[in-house]
Amino acid sequence: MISISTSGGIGGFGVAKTVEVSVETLPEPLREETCARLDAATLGRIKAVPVRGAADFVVYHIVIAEGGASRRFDLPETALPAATLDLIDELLAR
Amino acid sequence: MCECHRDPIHCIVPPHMLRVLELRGDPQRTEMARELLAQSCKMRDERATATPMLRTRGSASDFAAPAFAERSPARHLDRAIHDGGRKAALPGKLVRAEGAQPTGDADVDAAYDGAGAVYDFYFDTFGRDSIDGHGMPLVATVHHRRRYNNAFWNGTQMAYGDGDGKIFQTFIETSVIGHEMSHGVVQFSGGLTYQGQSGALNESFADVFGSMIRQFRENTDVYESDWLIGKGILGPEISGQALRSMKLPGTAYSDALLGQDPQPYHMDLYVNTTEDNGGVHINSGIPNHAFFLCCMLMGGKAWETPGQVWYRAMQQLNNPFASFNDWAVGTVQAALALYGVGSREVTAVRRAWKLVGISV
Repeated sequence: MISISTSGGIGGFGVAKTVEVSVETLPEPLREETCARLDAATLGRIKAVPVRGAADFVVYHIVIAEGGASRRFDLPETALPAATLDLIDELLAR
Repeated sequence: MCECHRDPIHCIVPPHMLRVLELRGDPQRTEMARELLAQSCKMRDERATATPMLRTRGSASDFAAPAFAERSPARHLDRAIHDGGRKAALPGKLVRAEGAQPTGDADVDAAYDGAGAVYDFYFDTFGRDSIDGHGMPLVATVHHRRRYNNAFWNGTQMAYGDGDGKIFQTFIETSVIGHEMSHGVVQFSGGLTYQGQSGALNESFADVFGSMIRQFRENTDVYESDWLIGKGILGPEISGQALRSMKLPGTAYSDALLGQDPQPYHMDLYVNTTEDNGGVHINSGIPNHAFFLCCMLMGGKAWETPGQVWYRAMQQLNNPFASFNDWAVGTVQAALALYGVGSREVTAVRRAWKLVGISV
């Protein structure tokens, strides 16, 4: 199970709904892409390196629950690959 | 004490100096400073320019941002508006370059015109040649991502979502365009770290100048303006007028989904929070309101006197970690430099800050 919520942005508040995704129920190839891009190892390798001058960016709070354990990742959109952001948009639209 | 003949940065350097180097140094020194900081403390999110300040007048404490110290009389307006195709990759496809004809895409053309209006404002009012003061191309992406409820400055360009049509209906609005581009001006003016009070000052500068740009474009004076940031961008079913109000912080919206506008207008109401990088979009209401009050006291057009004070203060701040008090002192110093001791302008600036709970 993956949950995605947001904070920040120009309004200073997260307006996207918190989405909970049961990965097993996703259709292919969305499931495969979700497993690849939103797994703990992949997100753990993303450095939330500050981007000089950046402002009003959204921060994504991604919680991955698996095998009774959960890990949370707080990542600014400026640190996430474009393809991951597109995937998040796809999941948020479901 | 450093006894070696190496670069002194490798010797005992206090954390606050390392943090400024991390913000302003060249890539090599930035990485070095980060490594040193990581050894001794937890690094927080920081935002700043890579452009160092210039010393002026030979005094140890007199600095100015290069764009202020080296004003250019030549215009270099160079707009490049891109279509993001509702994807995340930036900048997307170039659809309107400088001098090109309107495309027929309302957002593209409005972003093009808006960027031009912001450029004209900074050039005509302050002699500033683009965001960096040296003719930096104005790169913007519209239709960024899918139903994206946001706009941002990423350090090199602006990006505007379309909104989802429910919470937000657009982000192509003059004060928003001015807000995002003014974050770039902050970046190239010494910078303000995007956290806590310095982050709130960063946000406030963007709101103040975004509001002024709208007033400039509409040719309204301080008493005619509604002082709203992002007027009309909220969705049709949202109970609210705008993102923020500089005139009445805390009243821009009151909605079942968005909640109540949380902005304070006085230091007594300062919000201590870990959300939103320490409330940078929340506590910006206090310096926003100070600027509004200053305008009410001075009258006229916002960019004629108060805007000159605020702009000069930003160009000479030289403190990426400035507190509200540091900024207030800077505005008084700017007013003294521009209008002299005992002037009504200096009195107005001091009184405005006093009214929001900051004595200078």
